[in-house]
Amino acid sequence: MDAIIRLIAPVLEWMFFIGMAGSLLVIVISAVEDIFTILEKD
Amino acid sequence: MGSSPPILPSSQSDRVRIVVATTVMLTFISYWRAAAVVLNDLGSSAFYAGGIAEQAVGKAAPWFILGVMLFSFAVRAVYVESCSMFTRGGVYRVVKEALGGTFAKLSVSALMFDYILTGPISGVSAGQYIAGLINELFVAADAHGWMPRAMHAAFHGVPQLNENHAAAVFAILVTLYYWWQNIMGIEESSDKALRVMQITTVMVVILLGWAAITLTQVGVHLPPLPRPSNLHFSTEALGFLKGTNFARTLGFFGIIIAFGHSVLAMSGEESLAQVNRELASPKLKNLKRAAVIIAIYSTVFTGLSSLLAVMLIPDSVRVPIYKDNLISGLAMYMVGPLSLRLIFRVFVVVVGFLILSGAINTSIIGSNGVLNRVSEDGVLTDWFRRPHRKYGTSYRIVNLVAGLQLVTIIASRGDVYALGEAYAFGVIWSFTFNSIAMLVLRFKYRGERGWKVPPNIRIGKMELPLGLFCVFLVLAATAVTNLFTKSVATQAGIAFSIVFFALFTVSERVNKRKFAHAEAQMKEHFQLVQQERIEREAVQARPGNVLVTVRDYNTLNHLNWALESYDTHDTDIVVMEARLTGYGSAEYDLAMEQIFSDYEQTLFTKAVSIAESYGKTISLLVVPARDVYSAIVQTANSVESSAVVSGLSSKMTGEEQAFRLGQAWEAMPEPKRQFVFQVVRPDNTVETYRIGPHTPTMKTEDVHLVHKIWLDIKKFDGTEDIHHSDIVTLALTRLARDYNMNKDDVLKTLKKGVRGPMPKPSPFLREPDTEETQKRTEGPSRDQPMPPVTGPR
Repeated sequence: MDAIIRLIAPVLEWMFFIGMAGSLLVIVISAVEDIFTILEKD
Repeated sequence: MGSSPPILPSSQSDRVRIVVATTVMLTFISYWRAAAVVLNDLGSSAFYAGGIAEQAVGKAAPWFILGVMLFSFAVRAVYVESCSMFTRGGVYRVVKEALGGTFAKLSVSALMFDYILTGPISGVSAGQYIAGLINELFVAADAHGWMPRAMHAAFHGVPQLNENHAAAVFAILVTLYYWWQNIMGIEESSDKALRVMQITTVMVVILLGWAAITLTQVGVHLPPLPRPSNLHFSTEALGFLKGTNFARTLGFFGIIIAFGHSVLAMSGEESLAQVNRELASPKLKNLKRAAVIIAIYSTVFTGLSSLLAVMLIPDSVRVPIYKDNLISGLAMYMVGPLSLRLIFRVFVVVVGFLILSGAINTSIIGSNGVLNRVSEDGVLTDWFRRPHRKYGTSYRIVNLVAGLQLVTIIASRGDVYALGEAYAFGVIWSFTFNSIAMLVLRFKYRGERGWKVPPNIRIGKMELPLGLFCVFLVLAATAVTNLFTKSVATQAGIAFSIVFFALFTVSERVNKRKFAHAEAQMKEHFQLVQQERIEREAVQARPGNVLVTVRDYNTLNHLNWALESYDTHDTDIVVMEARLTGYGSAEYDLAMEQIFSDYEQTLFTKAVSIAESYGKTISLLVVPARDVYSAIVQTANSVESSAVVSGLSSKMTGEEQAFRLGQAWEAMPEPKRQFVFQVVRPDNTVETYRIGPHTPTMKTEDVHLVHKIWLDIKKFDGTEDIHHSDIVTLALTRLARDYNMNKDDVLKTLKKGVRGPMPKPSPFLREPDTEETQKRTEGPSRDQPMPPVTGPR
């Protein structure tokens, strides 16, 4: 188990932190779009 | 929208023609109601997510809960994109489109694990809140000397319930209650969801306001920041990593582990895809609005309540006493008199009971919906969908789901932490499957979709879905990490998924063989005509036809009655089956074989043989629908029926059936036509109602009064052109004016009854008793129903 996790952990760390940075962009851009959607009349 | 050509050539006209509608008939709801339905599931996790996360990762847990809630905005974006596509969301359908049947079966197994665990965790959590309150009340009563000495002596002190055991018993009782309700087929109502969320909002506002006042007095002490050095994992929280050298120096990997222990805070996002199809127009805008409301509400409620709990409840009692009823603990550590805090705690428990028991029901309905959906897709045999003889519900699926939930509750012995850990497995894997499927679909289907998760980078002709890829990376990293750190969840989740995957695979093979046989039989006896929307021409019926609704092939006496009563030379008979579908099924248009199953084949074979025994012809129609009454009125309107004939429901009286039909008629958009509704009882007596606006029955004395006024008016010059109807028009115009000027006075008079008591208000008119209970003793001609109504009056 120790060997497997030592191998995988760095990959998962990179995935997680790069993903989080990109997800923040998703949140900010879609929040701006959402504000316009809510204010827009049907 | 054009209709697809018939499956078989029309020259083979000896076969019975069946029109199959492929678009589900829906009633639409506003984005507020849609948000309320989703929040009933998503909001319930606020009651247990904070406590579970803190037990796993320590005092810094609220930051991770807040982080998860913030990240849920991005997950929500993925669901909005999936809903805006042609497949319109829903993990099973999306994954099947992108990755094929095997992955779809795996993803739906994970989703089932999520759904089935929602019930036990919600029930046990509600039980913990109630047991915690009872124990607190015993302590308070003892402190005030209200506890009888004998009781004190019998328990060797203050009596205290074993909270875990009491919670398990409570969860079992509530699960059994909702199991029976679902067997009987309770209605899913967005009204109930909205009301629960309104009460919850009152509690959230009081909670946040009171906590703010408390913070001004006790000072703001934030939890330790989410740094690796501030994480203190329990031994259970390390799972398979326990005892490894790696676990001693986790570093940044600890952040992912802590995040993984907090993901259950965003469970319930899948419900967004399930209510999407029911959203009113403009659909995409309303979906985004609902999604924003859901994300903000759940972040404020779940995120802030977890944060405030750590800030206000002392460390010495927070985990030892309030770990499983954190919001109750929060109520007890506000500033103010004890009595007021206890009253608020009772309110918290009532709200917790409402939202958490609602989540048990949602989990049974959701599991039933998902399993019905995969059954319609041929992945589960028809045996599971066989309707209950009395109630017509898919009772075998309900039994399976409730049985699994009861086993889970007993196995957990009321331990919320163990249930929460397992629950997170289903949550994270169903999200991960959905996001990878959406990623694949970006390359597989390059066509336009309503909305795309931003940002997207264009390089030449290639568009790279950067945002979607990043969300997938986080979900996948968390899901894989959870495999290492949640040993019980991993073992239970994998075992459960394998069992369900095997069940789906075997069922699919059995179904393929059965469908080949059924298809051959269908080709021999029936001619299926696929129609996206129902039109009168498609069912080959003349205006003024009679629509006979059928469901159970054991109770078709009303079809016998209709065939006896109506002369098919003058009036066509259309036999309709409304195929009820759950929230999930409305996500996509159904395929022919999904709608016309073995069951429909048996039902229609029986209907046709009854018609043949009378030497009469009938038209057959299958309509998928979310609400049976809505489907009946919409179909009656589309095929221009003058009468609808139904059997007596096992759950309602004829009057209640007519009332529901009347309500559905009122909700239907214009243009709409009125019709007669006839309920045939098992003893062949008939109740007749008029649905929609109708000429009211006038009392004889009112007719005389109109005539007397008219005679009096006629004495004056220049009144030659005045008729009886002008007097009624004037009287109504004056009543309308009076009503506008003084509503209360008019209502008071009406309630009192102008001459005697007024009839109960109703959207339908019941015909006089003499006609409605007429016994069938002299053959068809005597029971000839009311004359057909051919248009609105």
